[in-house]
Amino acid sequence: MMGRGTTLFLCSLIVFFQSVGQNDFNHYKPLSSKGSVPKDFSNSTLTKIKQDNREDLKSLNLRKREFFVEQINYSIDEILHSGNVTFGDTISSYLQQLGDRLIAGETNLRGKLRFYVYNSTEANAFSTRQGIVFVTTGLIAQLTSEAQLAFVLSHEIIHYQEHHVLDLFEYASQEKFYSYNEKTRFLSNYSRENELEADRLAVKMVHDAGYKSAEINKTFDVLLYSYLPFEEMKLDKRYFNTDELYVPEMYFEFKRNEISAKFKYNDYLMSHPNLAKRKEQVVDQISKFKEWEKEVLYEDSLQFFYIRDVSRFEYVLNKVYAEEPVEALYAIYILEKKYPESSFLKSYKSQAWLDIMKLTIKKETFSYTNSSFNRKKQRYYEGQISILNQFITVLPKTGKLAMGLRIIYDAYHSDTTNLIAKKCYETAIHLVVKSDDFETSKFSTKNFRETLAYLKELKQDTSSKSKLHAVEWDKYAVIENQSKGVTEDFGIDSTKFFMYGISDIIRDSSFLKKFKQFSAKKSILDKNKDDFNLMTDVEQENVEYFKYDNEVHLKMDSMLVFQPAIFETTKSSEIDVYKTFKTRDLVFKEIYSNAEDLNMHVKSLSLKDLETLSAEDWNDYSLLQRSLTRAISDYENDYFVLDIPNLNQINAKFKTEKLLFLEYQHVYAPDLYFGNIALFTVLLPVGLVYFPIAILSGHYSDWQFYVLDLKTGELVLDRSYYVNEPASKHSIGSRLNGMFHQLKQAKNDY
Amino acid sequence: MIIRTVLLFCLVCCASFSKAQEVGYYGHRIFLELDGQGQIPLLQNIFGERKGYVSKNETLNSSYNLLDLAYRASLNIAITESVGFGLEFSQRFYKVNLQSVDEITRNFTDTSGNMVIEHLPAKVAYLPIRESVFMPKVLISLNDSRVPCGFASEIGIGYSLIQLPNRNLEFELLDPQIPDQTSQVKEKLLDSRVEEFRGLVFMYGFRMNYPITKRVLFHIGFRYQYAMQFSKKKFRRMGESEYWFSGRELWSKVNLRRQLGIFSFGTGLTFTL
Repeated sequence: MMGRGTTLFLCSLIVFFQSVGQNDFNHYKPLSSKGSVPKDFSNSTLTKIKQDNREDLKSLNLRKREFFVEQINYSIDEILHSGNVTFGDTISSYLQQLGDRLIAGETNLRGKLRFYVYNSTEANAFSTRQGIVFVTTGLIAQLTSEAQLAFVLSHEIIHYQEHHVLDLFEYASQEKFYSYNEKTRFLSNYSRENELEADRLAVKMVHDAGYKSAEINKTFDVLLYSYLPFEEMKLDKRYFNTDELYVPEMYFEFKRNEISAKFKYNDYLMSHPNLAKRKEQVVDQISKFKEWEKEVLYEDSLQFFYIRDVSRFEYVLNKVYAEEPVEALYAIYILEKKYPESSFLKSYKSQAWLDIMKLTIKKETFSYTNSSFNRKKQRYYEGQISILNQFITVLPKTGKLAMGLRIIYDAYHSDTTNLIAKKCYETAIHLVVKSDDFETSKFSTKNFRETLAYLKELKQDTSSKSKLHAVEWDKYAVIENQSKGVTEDFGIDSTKFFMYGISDIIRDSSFLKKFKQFSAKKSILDKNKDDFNLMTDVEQENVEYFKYDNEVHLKMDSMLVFQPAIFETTKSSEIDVYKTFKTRDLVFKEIYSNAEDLNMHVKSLSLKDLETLSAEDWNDYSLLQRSLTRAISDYENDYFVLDIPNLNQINAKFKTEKLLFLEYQHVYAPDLYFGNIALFTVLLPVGLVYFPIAILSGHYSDWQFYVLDLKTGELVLDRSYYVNEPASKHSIGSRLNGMFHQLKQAKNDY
Repeated sequence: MIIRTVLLFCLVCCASFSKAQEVGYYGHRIFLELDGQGQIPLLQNIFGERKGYVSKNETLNSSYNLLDLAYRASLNIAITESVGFGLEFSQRFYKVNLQSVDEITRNFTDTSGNMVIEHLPAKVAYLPIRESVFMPKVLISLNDSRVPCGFASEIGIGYSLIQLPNRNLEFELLDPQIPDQTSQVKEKLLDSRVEEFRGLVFMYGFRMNYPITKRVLFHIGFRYQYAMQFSKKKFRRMGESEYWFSGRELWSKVNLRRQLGIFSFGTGLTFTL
């Protein structure tokens, strides 16, 4: 029995955590690394390969051993350097504490394991041979108790302890003569055995740590339904309603899509056994600990719920960055219940609506050119989120634009000092101006409620009533009024509720001023488009060529060079680790040398000198990685404003406006294989032509240059080159020289 | 001389009208190329010629016609990132086997109006040829390479001057029964009207340019050349000739040899200026 004092203490602790949590989440700042940089981050891949203790690899022959060490260190570093992994943050520290607690009884594991959070919406966890355990925020967001997390961590610890990664590699590399299908089948089977073993042993670890057994099996429920949002919460029919906007309830009466996930599914060719088998085995394993429930058990710490909320906020962030607005909005809806004042949620909600508005505009643009083209397929949602999705889907274009504008406008007016809210608002106006479906004159200057009252008043007024009925609308007046949301009998068309949703906005002088300003700009663009359409083919070609050429003239005298993505691959598409690093160094050297030749000032944010990077550098690195990924995924159509304040800070810190990011991939793979060698040897005269071409043109180099404007947050250049050139010093140097020369030029007037 | 002036004018025009500022190799747009070219005369040995003779220690020995070398020099300018223009001068040295069998023949009406038909068993050494070509050419980079670096193709049309640097061919009369006619044969061996031929070369080539330093590139590649020869009417007319090798024969043999030499390898250095 707990004493009164203890209860009071716990209650006050809960209140304290809640108030601290509320405050934190009201001004939530994304996860960031803190403190000293762990060696996992500060050591280079080559150092790790060199220092790798190969003692556990004695069963492999020398070649396989080296290959394994190279590949495994390289791929783990790719994860660590992806910008999604943080250190010293709340979640990683918590995971480390929890992990240490789980291995308290395992002396051989003490000090060997490092736990990091991997920022992703996927629900996953994995461990590496080096002793690193990654857990995704997506998984933590879905869990309901610390015991479940303890089970997941234990499972991964067992994988490490039992050398499952190595086992699998050894098994895979032994069977040379199996066909691909056979290999996949046998490997999957082998991997499934390992998974079951990890589950079995993890149960004991969780037991020894003192967690409740009942929670373990729930972990499988979490895994099964992890494709759904982290809560199943019914959408409130009044959620969107404000003083100015009324959304009819019929929009929330769609049929909810059934949740289809099953525990028993065909796990053929899967690395993990189906969840029913795993669950069954775990139940069996738990039953072996007969006294478990009678033992003194560990209660979930409050910190677990705090880090779960952090993970849920990160879920929102990741969904917004990944341009999945429906998932983001649903998650925001859930979190808003707990944190209604969160400025983070407001900003992200605005951005999610901007994405919906943008997609509407994009569909409009594509419908003129290629109606079948749709970059993102319509997703199918199950559960409560499907209601929200159906509501957004059925909204006509004007409806989406008006709703978006309404929500973004409100967010901005709730805090006009918020830079992101302001940017969202301006971008929203820009988007509505861009659309052909948005005319302010069509929207009602009275909101839904006012219009209802007005109509009621009219109907009560007998003189007006008679007047109303005396008016007869012709066909064209009916169409015109329908488009404004008025029915033939002078009622409100509830499917056009949005026509009454922005009455205050279209009367707002600041909105109108911006709207006119952007409309004027659009008119100029439209005129240019018309002029272009009236040109001859040759003239159009010249304009296009000029534009293409001019696009790269960015008048850059300085730049921030971001860690280039460089890959040297072998013919069989494997990474050649040593060559990759050699080429990476070469590229850096050539960047500096050519920039110096052209008097360009270069600053870099790269992983070249890992040991010198601080936690702050890693945070900048992660931020830019994320921003670049988003900007690149939607070049020229990216109305993404969330990262602008952060990019502005980086701009101020490095004192340069433009960031250069380049990707380079090279492989030497001449098109020579047994068949064509034999054929063209027999047909020697043809071979004399074929072989030299194949050998000379066997280098394949892909270049991709991106320039991000740190002031506006826009990707101003996306240029790719594909060449048959080797990855030599001057091939790379001359390409960079040409590019830098172009970047330095000022734009020409046509 | 006129051709050279015209070509030089073209080069200067291109240099002055090209607006692009960022083309070329490390900002250098004009480049000089020096090349060696050679070919294994596989096709002519398969389809065209039998073994001929070369003189060694004053005797004629049977030998394959392996010598076919050239040097080339060209001045080029990168007009855009992917297109360059150049003027090339090359001299190619090769040999033509004039004989199909070990015999020389002639057939003509002499001053007294008698028809003379003569056959002499003899071996005649290869006829050396020096072909000078002036060629404007266009370099087009493949994929997104930047001229003059990387993989490129080249297209050109050249004007050829085909000269016979050595008309005193070694020969050997083979029939000891016939009185020695060496001096007479020597005098009338090659048609004196044939001083040189002229023609065109249509060239298409592939090459890979590997940069070595900031100013020098190494390139290697191969070319297809279709050769055309002028003055067909002048030399091809079937007529009598007191020369053992008439103008018609020489024209045809040289023409065939040029046409079979369609494929050649080349390598050299590019210097940016």
